[in-house]
Amino acid sequence: MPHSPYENLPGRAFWKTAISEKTPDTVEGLWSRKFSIGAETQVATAGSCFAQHIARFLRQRGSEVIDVEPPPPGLDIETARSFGYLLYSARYGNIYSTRQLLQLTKEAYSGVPLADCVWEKNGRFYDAYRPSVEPKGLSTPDLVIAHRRQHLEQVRSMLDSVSVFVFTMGLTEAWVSRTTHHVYPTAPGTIAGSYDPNAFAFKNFTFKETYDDFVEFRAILKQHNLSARILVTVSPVPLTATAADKHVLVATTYSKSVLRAVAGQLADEFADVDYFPSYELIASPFSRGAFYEENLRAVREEGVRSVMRVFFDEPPVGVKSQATGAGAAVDPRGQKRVVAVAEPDTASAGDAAGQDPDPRAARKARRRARRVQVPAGAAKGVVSRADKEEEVVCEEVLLEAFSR
Amino acid sequence: MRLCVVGNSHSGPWKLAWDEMSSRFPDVSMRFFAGPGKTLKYLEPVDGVLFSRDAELQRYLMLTGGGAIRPDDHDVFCIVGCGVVMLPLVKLYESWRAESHRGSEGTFQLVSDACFEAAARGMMSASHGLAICRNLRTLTTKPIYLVPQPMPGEAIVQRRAVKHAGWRMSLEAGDDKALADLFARLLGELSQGDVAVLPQPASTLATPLLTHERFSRDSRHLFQPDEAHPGNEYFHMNAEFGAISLGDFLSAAVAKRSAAA
Repeated sequence: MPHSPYENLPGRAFWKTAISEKTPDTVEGLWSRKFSIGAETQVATAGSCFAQHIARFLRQRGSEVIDVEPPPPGLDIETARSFGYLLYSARYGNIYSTRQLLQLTKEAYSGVPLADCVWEKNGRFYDAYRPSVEPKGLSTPDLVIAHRRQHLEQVRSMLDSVSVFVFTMGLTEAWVSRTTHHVYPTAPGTIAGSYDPNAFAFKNFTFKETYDDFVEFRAILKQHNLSARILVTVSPVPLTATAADKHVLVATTYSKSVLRAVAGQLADEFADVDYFPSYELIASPFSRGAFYEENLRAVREEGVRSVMRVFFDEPPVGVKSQATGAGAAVDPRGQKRVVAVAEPDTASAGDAAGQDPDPRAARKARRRARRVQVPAGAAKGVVSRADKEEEVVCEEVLLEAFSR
Repeated sequence: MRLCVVGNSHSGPWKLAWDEMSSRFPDVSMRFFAGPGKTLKYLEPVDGVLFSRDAELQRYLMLTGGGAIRPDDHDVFCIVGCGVVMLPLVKLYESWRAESHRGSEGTFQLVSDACFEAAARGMMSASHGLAICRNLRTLTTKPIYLVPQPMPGEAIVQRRAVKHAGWRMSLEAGDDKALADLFARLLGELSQGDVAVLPQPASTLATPLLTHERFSRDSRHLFQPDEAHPGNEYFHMNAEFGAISLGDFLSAAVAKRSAAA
């Protein structure tokens, strides 16, 4: 009989052995994955800018990161990114809140662009829900709607075919329409549109709203793609500015706390939702702030690499790895083991309703993935070149506008 | 006037035409440096001359012009074809449509005019013809002309082949002029005003993107002039076309020389 309930717990349960005596490069057991990402897993990414790092590293490891809207050939990486390409699995720009994710998903499956999707600026017209993807806008509102309709088709095909959907939660703060309650990724007037206090309102989503939105998103996704799994992360990037009438540090802490709590709740509740603790690695006292740039906001490349070491289940720095990439991991005896592609561990098999994953559904999803229509001239080569690109598009300029 | 023509297979009609008309230009000599396909991309400036380390191109240069291209040996240069061609823009059009395009046939992604233009610029700037111009300019201040590859013959739109669908789709949608204008504008921009771009003679064009069919009949192989291109070859032109195109160049070069004198 142990003297204390803590007596026989593993080392990772104790701060001293798990953290104080470790560094981010040597920490172990931080994440027990529910499912693995193999070379053939169809991965899709969305969310806040930190998700771009994950996509980049997955591509480097040879994983199949879906890109349903690849850039035209001829665009260099920087130009392609300025048009919203090569950032995520579709050309939707940053999706900061779970409400925005839910809204896009509903819109994609409806096939009908939201009625208030057009913003104007200097005689040009912009997609209000992804205003940065066409930096100079389009010539008519009808074109914006036509482009969005096509974008929604691609988003739907991506959701239908994804095996593992990686979503990085970024913010709880957003701007919404007072009439339609639709949520926008940027404040009206920053890239396009104009700020009218009677038309737009500031919204700071609560735990319940954030949680409910994600649960609804998951339900829609599973309705169309039963075998899909979701990997949630929380962006460690603090708010550039807050409209919450609070100190930005207080607002950041609220926002990240809500997102982290929601992510944890979702992972605890659903077998097909996993939480990857990139936020803890970067933002906790463990890293002593060393992973932030001088502005204490942008994440340094070393931080991303540390996060990815944990993500790919690599041994601590200094220990020779036998892993060859995603889908391969090293067990405690140092033997390489090949892990199943996007299959849940036995302990977490089945979804919240107690259903076992349907292998037929998985096969169906893979077939759908192969059917995703990409223009014949799509610049597949550009995607691989993007692997070398370190820059992450954070729409910093737009966020700065909040503080003006 | 000593003229230097550097070109791929599209310089073939010029050679055939020059053989016929050279006697009418006793004060003009013309030397051809030709290589098929993309072989001329291996030309590089070395010790004051354009030279190739590639054995295959070396062989072609020796066979056609006698070896390396020495700027001192010539008064005027003309780059013919060499990948400066409308084709990439039409392929781009097949899979991406800009906001100003009217065509709705096919499977394509919608993009802004700005995005389409950026992609077109990127594709065109990669042509080795422009690279040869840039390299040559590092060696000489003498006039350099650039003659793009001709537009394909009209027959290309008469077949429903998927491979060439963009030409037909752009014609039927009325987007051909916009594409031709973009091509001309970007070519002017990319040649940076340092090179004189000679557009395809208007008299040879049936539409902005198509050459009159009679110019593409009986076109000949560059190195086997006795052998005609096959019937389903739309991109190479015959000696009659060469005479008109070469005539344009000669007029431009002579006029510039006279003005300079």
